[in-house]
Amino acid sequence: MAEVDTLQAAIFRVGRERFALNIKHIREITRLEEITRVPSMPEFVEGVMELRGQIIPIVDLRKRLDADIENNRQTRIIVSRIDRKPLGLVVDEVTDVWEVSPDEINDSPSVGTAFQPSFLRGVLKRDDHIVFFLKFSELLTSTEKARMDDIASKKKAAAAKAKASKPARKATKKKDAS
Amino acid sequence: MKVRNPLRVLYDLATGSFLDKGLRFGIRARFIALVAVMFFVFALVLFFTFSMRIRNIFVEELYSRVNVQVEYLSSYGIVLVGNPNQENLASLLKPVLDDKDLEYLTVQSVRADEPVFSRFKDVKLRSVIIDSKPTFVDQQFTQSEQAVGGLTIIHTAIPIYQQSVQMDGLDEIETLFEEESLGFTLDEALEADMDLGYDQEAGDLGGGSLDAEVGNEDAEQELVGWILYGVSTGTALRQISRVNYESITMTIGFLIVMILVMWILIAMGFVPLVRMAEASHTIAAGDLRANVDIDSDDEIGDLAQSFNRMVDRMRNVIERVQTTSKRMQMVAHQIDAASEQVRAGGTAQSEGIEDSLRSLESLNASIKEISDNVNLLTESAEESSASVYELNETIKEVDSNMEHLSGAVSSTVQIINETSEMHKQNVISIDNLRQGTEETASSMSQIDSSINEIRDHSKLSADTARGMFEEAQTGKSAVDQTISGLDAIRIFSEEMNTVVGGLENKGSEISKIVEVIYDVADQTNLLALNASIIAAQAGDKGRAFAVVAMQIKELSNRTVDSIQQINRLISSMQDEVGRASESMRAGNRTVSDGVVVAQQAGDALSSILKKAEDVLMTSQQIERSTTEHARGAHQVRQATDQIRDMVGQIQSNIQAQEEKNSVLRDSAGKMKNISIHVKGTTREQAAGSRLIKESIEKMTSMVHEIDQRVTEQRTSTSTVVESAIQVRGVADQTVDHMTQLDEVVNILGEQIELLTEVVGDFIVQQRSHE
Repeated sequence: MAEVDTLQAAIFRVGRERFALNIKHIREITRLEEITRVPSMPEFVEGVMELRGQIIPIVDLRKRLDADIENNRQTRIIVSRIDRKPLGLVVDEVTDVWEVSPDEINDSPSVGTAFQPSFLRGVLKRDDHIVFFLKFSELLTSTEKARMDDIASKKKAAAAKAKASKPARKATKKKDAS
Repeated sequence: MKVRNPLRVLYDLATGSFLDKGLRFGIRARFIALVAVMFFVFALVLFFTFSMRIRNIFVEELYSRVNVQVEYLSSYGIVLVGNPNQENLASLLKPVLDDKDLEYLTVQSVRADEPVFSRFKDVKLRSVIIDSKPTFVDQQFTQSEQAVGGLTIIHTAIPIYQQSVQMDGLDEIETLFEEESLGFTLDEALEADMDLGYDQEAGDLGGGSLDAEVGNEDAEQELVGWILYGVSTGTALRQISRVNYESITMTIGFLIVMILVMWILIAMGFVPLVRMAEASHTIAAGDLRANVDIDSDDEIGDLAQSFNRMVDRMRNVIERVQTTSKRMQMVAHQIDAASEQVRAGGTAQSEGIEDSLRSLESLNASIKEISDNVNLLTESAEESSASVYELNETIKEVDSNMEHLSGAVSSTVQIINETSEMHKQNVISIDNLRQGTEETASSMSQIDSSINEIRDHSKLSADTARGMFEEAQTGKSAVDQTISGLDAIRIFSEEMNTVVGGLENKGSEISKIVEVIYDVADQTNLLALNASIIAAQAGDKGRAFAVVAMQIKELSNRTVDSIQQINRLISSMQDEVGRASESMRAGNRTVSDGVVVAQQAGDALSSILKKAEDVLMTSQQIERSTTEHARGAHQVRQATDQIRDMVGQIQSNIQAQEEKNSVLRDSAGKMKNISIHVKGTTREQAAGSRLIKESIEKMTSMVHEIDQRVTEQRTSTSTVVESAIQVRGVADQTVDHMTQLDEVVNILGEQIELLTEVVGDFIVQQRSHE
C-alpha cells in the first residue's frame, strides 16, 4: 500500500522540549488521575494507577528528562506497553499525532541536550519545531526492566491491597509535587 | 451484512476506483488475494512435483510390469496348432486385449516383415503403424521401445511356435483347442505360464496340456512369429495428464470455493470494521448518532467499544457545547438588549443635555440682555446723576441768585424806603434788579429743562429696571429648566449604571460558561488523540477513523481558538463596560457639579431678581419724586416769571410813578415776601435735588452691584454651559463606548453563532427530540 515506511508518532511536551514516541508502543492517553503509592516499589516507579480495572505502574518522564514537575490540566499519562506489560508515562502535554517518515529523523546531536543520548533515536524537525524522537526500548534500563518483572506479581497483590484500603494509602499528586 | 460483489471488486480493482474512493485496495481483497496467490503457487509446486513423481513412478511401474512379464514369459511361447489365420487369431487375442487393458497387440511373423495381425484397442490409433520389428537376440525377444507416432511403446513379445505335427499329438492339441476354444485365452495362457513359472520354481509341474507340450523337449517346434503386446507410455502419460487436468480443475475449484468461503468469513470478520468505517463516515459527515453494535472479545471488539465510548462521550461533549453555546447565545442577546438599552439611555441623556444646553443658551442670551440693560441703566443713572449734579449747581446758583435777589430786594426796599429821591440810582437799581430777575428766570427755565431731563432719565431708568426684572425672571425659569434637565440626566445615568452593572455580571457568567466549554474541548482533544492512536493501531482500516479523529481534534482546536477569542472579547467587553461605567460615573459627578452650579446660578438670579425689584421700586420712586420736583420747579419758574413781570411792572411803575413810593414799598415788601418764599422753595428744591441725588447714587451703587452679580451670573452660566458640554462629551463618549461594546457584543454573538454552527453540524439526538 501507500507508504509502508512511514510511522505514526505521538508528539508530546516535557518541560519546554517536545518529544515523539512511536504510536505502536502507545495504548492510550489519559488525564492525570490519582496515583497510588505502593510500598516496596522501586524508586523510579511513582506508583500505580487503575485504568478500567487494570493496574498500571507509573513512571514520571519529567523526572527522567530533568524537567520541572508541575501538574496542570494539560498533564497526561501515556499508557504504553513495554515487554507486553502496561506502563504509564507522565508527560506535560500531548499535542499531536504525526505521520513521520524515517528519513525525517536525523541523528541526534551528542552535546547540548539535557538528557542521555541513549534515550534518543534521533531528532525530528518540522514546522520550525525540534522534536526529540525517543527510543522506547531505552526509556527503562535493563535493570529497571528486570525489576519491573520482579515486582510484576508482587505489584498485583499490593495493588489489590492498596485498593482495599485506598484512602489510607492515597498519595495525591500534590504530595508528589511537594 | 454487506458483502461486496466479487465481480464488482474485480471491476473496481481493474478500473482503480478503489483508489478513487480513497478506500484504496480493500483490506479484505488484499488479504484474500494474498492467500489465494500463495495457495495457487503452493498448489502449482505441489502439482508439478507430484505430477513428475507420479509420471516417473508410473513409467517405472510400467517397465517393471513389462519386465516381470518379460522375465517370465520370455522362454515360453504360444504354440499354434495348424495354420493360424486371422479369424482364429482374432478370437484368440480379443480377450487378451480386453482383459489386459493393453494398448495394442501385434502378431509378427518371423518370415514376413509385415505384421500378420495388428490390432489396436483404440480405433483411432489404427493409423499408427509399427514399422519395425522387435529386436531378437539369440531368438529371444526383448523389450523394446519404439517411437510410434510420437508415442513410446513398451513391448512385450510372446513367441509363437509351430509344432511340426505328428498326427496323434496334433489331434490331441486340436482336441484341446476344440475343448477349450472358448475358455482358453492368451491371458490364461500367460497366467498359466506365469503360474507355471512359479510352479516350476515351486517344483510343481501340474500345468495344462499346452505347457506339457511346450515343456516337451522332444517335440519339434518352430518359431513362427511373435505376439507383441504392450502399452504406450504416451497413453500412460495421457492418463497422467488427464489426472493432472483433473487435479488442476479440482485445485482451481477448491481455490474458488476456498476464496468464497474466506471471502464470507473475512467479510463476516470485517463487518465490525466496515460498520465502524460507515459509522466513521457518518460521524465525519457530522451525524453523531452513529453507534456500532458489536459484541466480540477480540481487538476489533475493543476498538468498537472504545469507538462507541468515544462517540458517546463526544456526543455528550457536543451536547454540552451546544447547550452552553445556546445559553451563551441567549446571554449575548441579553447583553445586546442591555447595551441597546444603555445606548438608548445614553442617547436620551444626550438629548436631555441638548435640551439643557439650549435652555442654558437662552439663559445666557437673557443674561446678556440683562447685562446690556444694566449697562444702559448704569449709563442713564450716571447721566441722571450728572444732570442732577448740574441741577444742583443750577439750584445753588438760583439760590445764590435768589440770595442776591433777596438782598437786592431788601436793599431796594431799603433804598426805596430810605431814598425815594434817588431816582437815577433807583432806575439803575431796578435795571440791575431786572437783569437779576431775568437771569433768575433764565436759570429757572434751565432748571425746568434739567428737571424735565431728569424725569425723562428717571422714566428710562424705570423702564430699564422693568426690562431687567423681566429678563431676570426669564433667566430664573431657564435655570430651573436646566436643573430639571440635569436631574433627568442624573436619572438616566443611574439607570445606565444599573444596566452596565448587569453587563459586568453577564460577562462573568459568560466566563463561567466558556470555562465549561474549554473543559469540554480539552476532553474532546484527548478523545481525538486516543482515537488517532486506536485508528493507527487498526492499520489501513482505521484510516477513515483517523481522519474523523483528526477532524474532531481540529474541531476541538477551533473550539479552543473560539473560546480564547471569546475570552479576549469578554475581557475587552468588560474593559469597555468598566470604561463606560467610569465615564458614566464621571458624567454623574459632572452632572452633580452642574446641578450645584445651576443652583448657584439660580440663587444669584434670585438675588438679582430681588435687587432688580428694588431698583424698579427705587426708580419708580425717583420718577415719582422727579415728577413732583418738576412740578415744583415749574411753580418756581412760574413764580420767577411772575417776579420778572413784577420787576418789569416795578420798573415801569418806578418809571411811571416815581412818587408812589408807598405802593412801591408795599410792592417791594410783597416782592420781598415772594422772594423769601422763592428762596424757601428753592431751598426746598435743593433739598429735593439732594434727595434725588442720593437716591440716584444709591441706585447707581445698586446697579453696580447688579452689574457685578450679572457678571458673576454670567460666569456661573458659562461654568454651567461648560459643565453641560463636558456632560455632553461624556455622554457622547458613553454612547461611543456603548457602540463599541455593542460591536464587541455583536462579534461575540458572531463567534457564538460560529461555535453553535460548528457544533450544530453534529447531530447528536434523534430528530424527534429536537
